[in-house]
Amino acid sequence: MADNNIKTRDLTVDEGFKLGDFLKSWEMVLVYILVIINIILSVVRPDLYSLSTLQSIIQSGMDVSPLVLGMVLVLMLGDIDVSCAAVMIFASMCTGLAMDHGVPSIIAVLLGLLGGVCCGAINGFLVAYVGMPAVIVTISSSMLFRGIVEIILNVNSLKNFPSFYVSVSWNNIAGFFPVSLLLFLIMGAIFIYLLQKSRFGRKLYIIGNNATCGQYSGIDVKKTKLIVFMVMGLMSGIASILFVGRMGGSVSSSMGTGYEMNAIATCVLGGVSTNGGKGKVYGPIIATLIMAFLTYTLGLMNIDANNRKIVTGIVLIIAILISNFRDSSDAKKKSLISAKAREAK
Amino acid sequence: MSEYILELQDVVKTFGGVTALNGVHFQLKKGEIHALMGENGAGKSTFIKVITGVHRPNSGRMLLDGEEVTFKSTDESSRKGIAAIYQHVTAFPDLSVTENIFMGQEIKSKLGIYKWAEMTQKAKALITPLSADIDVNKPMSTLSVAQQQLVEIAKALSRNARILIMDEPTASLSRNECEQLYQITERLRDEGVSIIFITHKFEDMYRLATRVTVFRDAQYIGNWDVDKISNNDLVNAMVGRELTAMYPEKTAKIGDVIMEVSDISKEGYFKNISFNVRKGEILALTGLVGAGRTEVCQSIYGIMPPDSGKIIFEGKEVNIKSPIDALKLGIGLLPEDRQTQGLINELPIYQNVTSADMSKFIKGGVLDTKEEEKKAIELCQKIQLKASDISAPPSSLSGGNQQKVVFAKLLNCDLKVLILDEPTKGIDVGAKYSIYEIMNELAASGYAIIMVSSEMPEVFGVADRIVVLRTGRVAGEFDPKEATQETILNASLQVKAGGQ
Repeated sequence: MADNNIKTRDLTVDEGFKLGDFLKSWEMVLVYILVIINIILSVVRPDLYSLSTLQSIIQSGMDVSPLVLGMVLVLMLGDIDVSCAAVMIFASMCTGLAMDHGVPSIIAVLLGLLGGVCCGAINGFLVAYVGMPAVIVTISSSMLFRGIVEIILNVNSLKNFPSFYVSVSWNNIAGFFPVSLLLFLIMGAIFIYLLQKSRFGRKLYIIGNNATCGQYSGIDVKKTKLIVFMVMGLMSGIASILFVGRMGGSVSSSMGTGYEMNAIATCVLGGVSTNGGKGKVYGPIIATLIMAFLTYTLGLMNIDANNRKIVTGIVLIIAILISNFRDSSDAKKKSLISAKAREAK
Repeated sequence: MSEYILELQDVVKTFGGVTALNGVHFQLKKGEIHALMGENGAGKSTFIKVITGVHRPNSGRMLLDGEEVTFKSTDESSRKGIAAIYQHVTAFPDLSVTENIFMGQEIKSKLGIYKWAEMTQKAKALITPLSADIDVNKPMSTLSVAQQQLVEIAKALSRNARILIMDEPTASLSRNECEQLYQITERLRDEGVSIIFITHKFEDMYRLATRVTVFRDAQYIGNWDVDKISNNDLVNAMVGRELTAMYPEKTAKIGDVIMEVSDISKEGYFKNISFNVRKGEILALTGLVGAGRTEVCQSIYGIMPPDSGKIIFEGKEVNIKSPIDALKLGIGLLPEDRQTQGLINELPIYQNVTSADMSKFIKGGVLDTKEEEKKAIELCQKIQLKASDISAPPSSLSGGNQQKVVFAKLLNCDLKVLILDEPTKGIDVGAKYSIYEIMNELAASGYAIIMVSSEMPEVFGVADRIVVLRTGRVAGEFDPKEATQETILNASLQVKAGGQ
């Protein structure tokens, strides 16, 4: 009776790295896209294709990167956060006001991050414990946070920020490697651990795919959701550092609109499903770079801002179509295999 | 013309590997009320869906007025005058009564504009003879369940239904409402409508039907004139099954009481439920669907904690507010609905198995997937789960093997009490046997098991003790060695006292 019905995968040898599968993975497709954009850029404007251009391109795209990483977790749950840009501005305001009042800069920065976490906690509480749909909650709270900023700042802008803000955004290590990129890669590594290696990440996959089953399996679904929204708030706070720095150290209430949409689009391009439970962190990391290169390249090609938006929109739709098409053909293959396996029994 | 308005011959319907109807016959005379009875899972609901064209049978013939017909959709069947009123009313709660009645057959002007005044009037004309106090302009959700059913009947009449199928219409009605429904049903019959009345209640059948057809285990058992069959013969027809060799020998030694549920109540679901369970014991919790069995289990497990009452676990009163508390104590639940509550079909089998307790696979803050796989393989081999790859998704498995994945998930936690809600639901006979074996082995190794089951033979074949629930209360506790299937069925139906 006790025949080994499960074919034990030989655990001493790793699964066997298949180069073919790896090269066809979505993450690699994204790398190809990135390379193609680079080739186009170097052909169209060979005069501008230099180290300093590449550095500017990367630096221009890094302020959204913390939002992208936070959004990966939120989307993993099957939720969404469209208030993150408003939270980012709110956090900037917290820091800026504190600096204006002569608070030491390190504490001002921490106050900014704390402001972000609090905003995230409000979102998370309403979504997880009150049970409101995330999209409604964050649309409303986005208006709320921006409204508060508008009342406090009116038409003024805050100009007093810690000096390292600008250097984080614009400096290069040894004149070569952008500081912001290093920061992004460090955060990326932390998020790869968080989502793909830790128990917390596994819980997100479980909740995103089947929250009811998660509850039956003894996972505190509400608490996990709250934490994710607080992390999103924290990441919005970190984004405020890069954002204010990129803007040259000033912030006003109307800045940063549309950043939330960029973050969501980048995640989706990176292979994260808005239905939850699907995707990894690698994809959105590469997608962040793609978005930076795409906008900058179009700019260098003298395409005006509005047309740039149109092109970016079309590129996104095509990319997502490709990924959907791949998923459905994958699913077909899988169901075919399992049907055959059943027949064989 | 044939004597029968509707006749089904040798109808077979399978879903994947599960046979829902196996060569079923049915004959409906013009203008009769025909009761259709059988246990849960006997195939009654599938049968209706075949008649109305929701499902298409794999083989067999259906004759309407003596002519063979096949329906590809409910639309076709309703045009031929067949209407069904389902167990769970399928209305649109936020739309008005009129809108519900004319849904899909709105009266329009030539320009395609809805003529609401005309529809409202017609709706009134249809509803008034059924019940005078339903306002056709009010939304459906403001009506009682009984009134909603009447609206469904009105809807059927508006489509000139000649054959009306009613699926357990009295299940959630009070006595007075039942009586009203009986009268309306009889009036419809007198007006020439032929009615198939599906019910669990003997009372309904005796009051209304002239003939009764019984299904059991997807099979046609027979049909009788109601006045010519005794209560006992009918119960036998519904449950009579061979028990031999379908259940493995029991080897467990029964120990001390490990958990005691004392007087727990939950408003709207159940009241004053008390029972206990011992180490090594398999306790069956049975009764009709809707008697509150699942709700009791979910209360104990902390999904919806009870309003009042005590749960005593290993001699101490415990407060279980969520499944997290329950699992910590050592109480696990195998949920009734595998697909939505038990499995995550998108994640590999091994991640499903470890999902309820990942703490033992954490090394230096990192989940060790190799260890997870190893443990999952070990557990799956223990319960003989058949799968080609531990990293495959559970959706690639058969129903029985999917259930084993959920079992493995429970075994991965350190549990003492297992609550199994319909553990063999939707599983074929062979796989059922191996589930029983697993249960016996677990009991033998000291687990206390509470099994919810609707299947009488299973209850007798597996359980050491039987607790019957009826309408949210304990209707009795029985020893399977002394009780018969008839006593249990009587307790869950309360045939003698005439029901509540």
